[in-house]
Amino acid sequence: MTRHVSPRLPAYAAVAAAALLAALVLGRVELVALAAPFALAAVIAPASARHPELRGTLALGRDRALESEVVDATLTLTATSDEVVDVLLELRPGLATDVDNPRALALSAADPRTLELPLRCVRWGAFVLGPALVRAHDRLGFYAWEGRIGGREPLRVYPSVEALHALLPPLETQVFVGNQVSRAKGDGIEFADIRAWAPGDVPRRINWRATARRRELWVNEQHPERNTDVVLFLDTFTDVHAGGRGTLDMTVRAATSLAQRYLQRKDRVGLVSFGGVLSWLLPASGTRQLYRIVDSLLQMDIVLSYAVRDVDVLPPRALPPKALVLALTPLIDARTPPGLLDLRARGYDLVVVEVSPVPFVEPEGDELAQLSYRLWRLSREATRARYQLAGVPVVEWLDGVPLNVPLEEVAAFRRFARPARA
Amino acid sequence: MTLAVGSTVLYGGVLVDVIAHASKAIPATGALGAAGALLLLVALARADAGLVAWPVACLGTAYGIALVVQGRSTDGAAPLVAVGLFLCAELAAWSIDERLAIRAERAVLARRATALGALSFASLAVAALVVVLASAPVGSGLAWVILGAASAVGIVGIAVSLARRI
Repeated sequence: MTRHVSPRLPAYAAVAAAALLAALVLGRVELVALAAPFALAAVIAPASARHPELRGTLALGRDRALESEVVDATLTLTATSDEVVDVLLELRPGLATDVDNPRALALSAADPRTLELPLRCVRWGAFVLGPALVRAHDRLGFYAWEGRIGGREPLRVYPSVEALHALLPPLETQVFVGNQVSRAKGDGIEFADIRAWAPGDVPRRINWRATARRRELWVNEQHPERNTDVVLFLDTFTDVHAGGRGTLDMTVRAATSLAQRYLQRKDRVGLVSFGGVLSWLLPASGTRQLYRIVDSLLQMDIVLSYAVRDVDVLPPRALPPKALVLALTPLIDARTPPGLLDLRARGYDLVVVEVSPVPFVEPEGDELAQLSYRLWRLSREATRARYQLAGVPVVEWLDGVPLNVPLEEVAAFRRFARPARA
Repeated sequence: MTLAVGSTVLYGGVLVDVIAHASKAIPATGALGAAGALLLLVALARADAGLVAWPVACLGTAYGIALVVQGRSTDGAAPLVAVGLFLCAELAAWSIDERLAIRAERAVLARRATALGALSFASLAVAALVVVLASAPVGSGLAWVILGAASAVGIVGIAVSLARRI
């Protein structure tokens, strides 16, 4: 522990020395009396000061929580002698507590004190709590010792998941069994068509009504239920935020909700973080993949980089054929459109959800700023038009609007427009 | 706030006592006292614990001037003046400490108040003892001067050693 001496102590010693010298020079005993309290303080404080022996442990009730949940942090302190201690558990933005932090405690020898700090998880993120900062000081505050006690405890706060009523069906399904009705014909539940009987058709598939009408054997055809591959493509080049909300925050929340819902449907979900740091998760299914994705999202941050990025650097398995690529982008960085349009050119089923930064940008009052703002909005329109010309559905998602709305817009777009190759 | 007011009231009380004892040197003592009061208010307003000793030094100097002007009779209220100045400084420092957003338990406040009370009481006792011993007819001579000088040197030594430890 690091020791600090209050500036009062040398000042008191100096006052006492000056008063005693003045008493000698002037021959006034009253000045000796005047020096007495300061001299006593200057002598007693160093004589009674001793290095405090503090021990402590920090424990969390659990290491994973959802946003808005409360996690109990318990800090246990023990001292070998009576101490007065200030305790602070540093909390990063995203965590908060309603109890006093820091607080000053009176510790008794060999009597452990337990501090309960209910931590409110305000925002998602990967946090590390502890060690706690402690400052022990003597009773009059002449000496202080500062140090850290307790270990480091990780806490992962997962973003809350939005209820999605419907998901975007990919144009094409994969070969494995799932919950998505395929456009292809085969063994399934959903009726697709009828056709003339062929050798090898099982008798239970015969459509007796059609057979009676046409006087030859006709059989039913079904759409098989297949799984799909979904790649969540996150543009993490830039973040526009205001008042604790921002495009990155919205992107992470949307990606979590989408990953959870697609994985519930037994689809395979992958993740590509396209930004200053390029990272990816290969598509997979199951609960473990959900945790992988969410853990990866918690680490997501904006890293400033001027490097030119291209989707070529992604391993082929990160973008499987026939996958639905769901891009969440604020349409700000100029490096994202070439990458996404490259994917579209390769035949991927691409959907762009524009996480709109407009609500987070307040134009200044002067004319030049207003003009810049309008030009910026126009450049965004131009970017949007580039995607639409390539047949890519682009929908704007505003802060405060449920994610269902842009997804429904994409579904409506797809009802009236098809990619040229389909 | 209570502590700051208490500190200011103590300062004012000692200042009034100093001025009352030296009617001939009111300009000097008054000026020093006012300067000290100003420094105390600045220290409290800016929450600067480093300034706390300066008002004490100013008022102590004013008290010294008042004693010189007053003449040879011993001031029996000197122990109270000493403890008043000490409490003024300590309450100001405590007030500044309380500005930190650290909520203290009642036991912490009680421990500090007890320690301050004990130190003030001990100081009062020592100061009173000094004044009583000085008033006693024990004579004078070189031995007393040497003893006084030694004590002064001892205090200066403590001050130097503390300054080195910072």
